[in-house]
Amino acid sequence: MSAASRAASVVLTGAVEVADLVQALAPYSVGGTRTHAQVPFQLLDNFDAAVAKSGQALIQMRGMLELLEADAPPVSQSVNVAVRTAGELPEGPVKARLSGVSMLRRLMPRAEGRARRLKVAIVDDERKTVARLSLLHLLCDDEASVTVAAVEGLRGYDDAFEHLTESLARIGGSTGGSVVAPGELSGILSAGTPVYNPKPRIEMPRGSTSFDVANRIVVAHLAVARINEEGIQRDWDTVFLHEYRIAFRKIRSVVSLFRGVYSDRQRDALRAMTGRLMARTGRLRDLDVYLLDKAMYFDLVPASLHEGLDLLFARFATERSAEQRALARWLASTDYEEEMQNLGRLFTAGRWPEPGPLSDLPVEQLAHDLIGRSWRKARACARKIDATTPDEVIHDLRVRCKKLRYLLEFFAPLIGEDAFRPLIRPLRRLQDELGLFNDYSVQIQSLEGIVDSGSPRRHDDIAIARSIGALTAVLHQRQVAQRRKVEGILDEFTGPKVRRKFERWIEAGDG
Amino acid sequence: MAEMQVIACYSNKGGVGKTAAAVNLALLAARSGRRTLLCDLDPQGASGFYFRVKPSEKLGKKRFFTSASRVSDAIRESDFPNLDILPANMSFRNFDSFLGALKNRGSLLKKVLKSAGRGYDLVVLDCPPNISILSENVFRVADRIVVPVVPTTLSERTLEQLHAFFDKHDLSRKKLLPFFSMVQARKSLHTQTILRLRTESTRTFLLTQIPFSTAVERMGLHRVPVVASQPRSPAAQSYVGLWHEIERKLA
Repeated sequence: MSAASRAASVVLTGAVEVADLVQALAPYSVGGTRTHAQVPFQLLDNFDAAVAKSGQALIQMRGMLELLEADAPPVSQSVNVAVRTAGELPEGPVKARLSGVSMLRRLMPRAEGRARRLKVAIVDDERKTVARLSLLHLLCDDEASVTVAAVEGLRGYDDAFEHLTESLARIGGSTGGSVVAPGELSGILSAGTPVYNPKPRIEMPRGSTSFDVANRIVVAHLAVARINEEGIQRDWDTVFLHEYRIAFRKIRSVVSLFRGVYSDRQRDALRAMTGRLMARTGRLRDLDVYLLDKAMYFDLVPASLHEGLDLLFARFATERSAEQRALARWLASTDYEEEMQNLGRLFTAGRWPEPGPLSDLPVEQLAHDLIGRSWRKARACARKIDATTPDEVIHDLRVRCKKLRYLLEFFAPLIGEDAFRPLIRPLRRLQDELGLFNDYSVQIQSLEGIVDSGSPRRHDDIAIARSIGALTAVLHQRQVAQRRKVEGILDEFTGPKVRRKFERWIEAGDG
Repeated sequence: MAEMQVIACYSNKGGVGKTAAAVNLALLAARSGRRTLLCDLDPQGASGFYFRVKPSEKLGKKRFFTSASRVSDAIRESDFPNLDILPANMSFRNFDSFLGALKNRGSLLKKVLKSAGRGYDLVVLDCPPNISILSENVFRVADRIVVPVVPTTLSERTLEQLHAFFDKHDLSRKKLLPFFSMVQARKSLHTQTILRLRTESTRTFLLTQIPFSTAVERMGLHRVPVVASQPRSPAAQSYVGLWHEIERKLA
């Protein structure tokens, strides 16, 4: 009990038993020990290992979620529903501390096995409990194991608490186990499972040709697309489709932006192939986005118009299920497999794509040329925007910024971490605002399309049209405000400070 | 949040089962869900001993009770949920000066208890067996004062003395909850005294009686309160009954 209770935990490799700790505990000794029955456990994480990357470990056992972090006591909360995404978790201490994790991604088992907990009273020479120790053994089927040793202090026994936590941290050698950070649990227990990286780092050693690098980028992103297929088919979460599409978008970017690296004919063929594959995914993504924004839409209009929204979103949900099933079928089909194989084969040794006139250009020069040109176009476009400029120019700017962003990301290994960050930051800020402006435009257009396709005689369509009418009015107002915001931040992007940073890097490539 | 309540276990005589009562009542209070602090104000320091709590070195200093944080730091969690102990280890000399300090500072005890008692629902005070400035302050601070009485003619007199003290110092007798302690049913002196005191007096004894028990006597050996070590024993059962009566009076 009490305000002064302290807790700390340390993770050790291997299955550490009480007997292994006796020496470390001195001058205290082991009092009563209680062993709990073995239960199955799962180590949960997102597909991209976000939990592990933020230095945490999330364990599920018999309706309890336990979250481990370095430098903080473990927290737990009970869950009586199947755990899906972090966003859908009921409020509680675990949800509150899952900070670095996407609310949209599914929490999936990265490792599983059996868990066994021992609770030990640590006592002094008068057999008074001075601290409580819990040893949680996590054993995987393949013998990989760790022990989570948690110390709980008792009020008034701070010395014992400190002594024990220090001893546990030093335990390493004597038991053959070593202390590991919670973020490493995933790696230890699921050894062999590769970690997904949606932004693969492309090798660009000195002297690489543009052709080489372009091929490597395409191959890497094809692999990213392929890895996301299962998640789309099993509908684990909406991010799999999103990243599948981004991977293809980047492939199409390379093909278009690296002008002259592939022949025109090859470029057109690649655009057609990837265009076909992308087209299959567009509608599902649109619907996912609608459904993700559902709460926002309801907030924008008064309750009297919610009936129309309920009808609209019920339609979206039904259509979404059908689209997801159709896409899953497509991804499982032999036609799809054949198309992907064809694409992949094109980028293997002996079969390479048809090179263009600039294929042998050293990649450093290509990078400087492309980024230079893209940056100047984006800047010129931004500079001519004022309150009177038509919206199309804003959309143009968004497209140019996107191209610049992709180029910067592709060539990040050449730019180097230190130079990269100051270039990407102002660009990202501008893109966020441009993106929001674009979202509003797209939403308005799309919603108006729904009204147009509805019938003025059906009750449902009338209710929907009414709600959409109110929605588009609000969205329009937001768009206008957002436009002003965009105008307001252009100065930073076009200003001398950012210009100096870009020009400095671009000029470094000349001569 | 409900206000903290204070129960004092007091007797002007030693050896009447005061500490045994304090210890078992505190544990029962903790089990009832109340966050409980047992304060040992008796320099003989037995209640901490029964919980195996060693007094910290911070105690025994002259100005101990004048610092709320020093008091707070000396509190130790028992092995039982919801129950903390403030052990005693004061030399007689320190105790005197402590009393002197109290005389000048009126209800210092109340202030100290309020701050050390933050976060507790109930404070149980195991009082020293004398009438003094400290006792007077305890009487003022406590919501209820539980008084073990061994049913002999001598005990009757000490109870009279206590009443006289209360009257003289304008303290409410209603706070007093005397109960018969260490009762030996085979002794006719005991049964007769009990009968007479229950029927004659204007003071109301609690209905529950605590029997003399070797189990209670041997608490010092096992260093576990009897309600935990031998819950089915007559002694333990009677403490449970006693606690229930007191609990109702607290409400």
